[in-house]
Amino acid sequence: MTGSADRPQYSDVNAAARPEPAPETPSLSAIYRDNFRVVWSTLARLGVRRAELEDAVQEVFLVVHRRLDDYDPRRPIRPWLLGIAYRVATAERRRARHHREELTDDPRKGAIAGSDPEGEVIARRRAERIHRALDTLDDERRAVFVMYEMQAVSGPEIAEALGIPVNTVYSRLRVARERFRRAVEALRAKGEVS
Amino acid sequence: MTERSDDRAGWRDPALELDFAAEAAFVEPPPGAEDRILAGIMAGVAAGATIGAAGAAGAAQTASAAASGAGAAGVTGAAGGASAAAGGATSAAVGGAWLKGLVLTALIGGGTAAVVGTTLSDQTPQTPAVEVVAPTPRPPVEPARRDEATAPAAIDPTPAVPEETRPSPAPLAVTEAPAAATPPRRVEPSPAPRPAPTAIRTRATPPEATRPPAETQPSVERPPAPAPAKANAGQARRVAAAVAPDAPGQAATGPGTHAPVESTAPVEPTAPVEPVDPHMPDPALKAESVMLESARQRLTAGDAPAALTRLARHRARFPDGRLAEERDVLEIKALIAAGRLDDARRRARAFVTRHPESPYRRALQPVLDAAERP
Repeated sequence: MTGSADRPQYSDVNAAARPEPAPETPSLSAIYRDNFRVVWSTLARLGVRRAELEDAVQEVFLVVHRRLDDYDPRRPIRPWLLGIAYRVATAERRRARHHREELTDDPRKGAIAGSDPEGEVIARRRAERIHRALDTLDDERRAVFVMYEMQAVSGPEIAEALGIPVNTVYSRLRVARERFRRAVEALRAKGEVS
Repeated sequence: MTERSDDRAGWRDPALELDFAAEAAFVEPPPGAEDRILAGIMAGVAAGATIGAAGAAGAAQTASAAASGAGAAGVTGAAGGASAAAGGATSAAVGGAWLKGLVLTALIGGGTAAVVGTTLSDQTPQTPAVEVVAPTPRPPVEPARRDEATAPAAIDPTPAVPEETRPSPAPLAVTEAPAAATPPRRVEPSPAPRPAPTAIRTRATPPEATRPPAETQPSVERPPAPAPAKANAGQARRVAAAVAPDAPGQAATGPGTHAPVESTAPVEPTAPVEPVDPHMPDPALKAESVMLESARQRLTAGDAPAALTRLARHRARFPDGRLAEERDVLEIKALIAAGRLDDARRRARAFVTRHPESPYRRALQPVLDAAERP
């Protein structure tokens, strides 16, 4: 941002003002290792079906690879990454919709393993209900909701990731929360696990 | 558990009162996924390097397809001879010297191509389709779009793009043609090939003479095997069938998949994502077929790098899977489409060595033959 790299070397003042050389762009595999889980869960929460999740994750990192040059290593990587994930997820959902694939009925079977089958079933149902409620949101609000509520991303970061004003983030969040809550209640009312 | 630590262990809005832990477990990646996907990514990166951006590859493919008279090229190629078939598959995509000859042949003309194609195929039904093929060069426009798209495959909302562009990878060209002929049907803008059964069928079926019947009676056998007879024609056709992305996919999809090798043809290449039929009790097999189908789709859509990454993932996960042969054949095809002829030949040679009895062997013969010609 400072353009320090372009400044002449003889400027001592400039050098002093520059705490450290611009950080190196991390390698693809380093980015992958650090963010695989976040990307995976984000995509799942954004509605990518289980069967497509691996492909989608892969797609995200291939895009990362392709656009690594555009990334400014001095900036946090997460918003950038989430923005890519969001685009991949929406493209995937659009594709799936096109193919009339069932979006909601997908058991994004997480690995809920353990020695408590009943508990697992209940946990699974709860998780599925959350996802079904998420499915009632449109892509944009869902993204804000997921990132803010579930991925602990800050409002400004979300704004950057989605390329929208911060105010829009919060207004979408408000609406999303309301709709989400209603959806959850409706699902609960349907007499499922509580 | 990076995720857990990264994520908050609860909703920011306490009023939601939901079981966050359960949800977190729900979206937990399965064991092995991380490494498997990384393998795929690296394969994609390697493929991308060869091709330049995936978009570039797409562009090249499309461009050549258009130049050579679209689908006609593919067909003609087949006509040209066994190797031609391979060329057809490779068609536009690649630019190998050995291919050029084929392409030239293809250029002769759509009409000719159609005729040849017909001749090649034993199946009569195909004729009409082929003729229709009118080599209307499809606008190479699509490729550009891909370039721009951040994510060539996934991101671009219309990755599959117009049906016409898609076929470019290879043998599909033939298939494509019919589509062009019957534009009305393909109205659906579906990005992915799969959705509209009609579209798919059109596309998939025509390429190999063998296919049409399959459509009608799903019980038909896999494409590669059938063509023992005529040298060139037979081979060409077979290549189209076997090497064509459909073959493996079908195999994967087909209910008859139990016998890995044999499985190829029965079902429509189309029904991918839900290859879930009762006939396929084996979850591993199902997983395999889903992965291969996904790769096949990408290839059909002209995105060879994406196909390769998926295939690499399949290999990482199922090195000796029941559909390993299908995967290998599909991969060879994808390599050709990606312009990696040398790799394709190497793989083809290795494949033949490894599976001397494979029904795909003959299908690969053209690739091997072509390799002999510098």
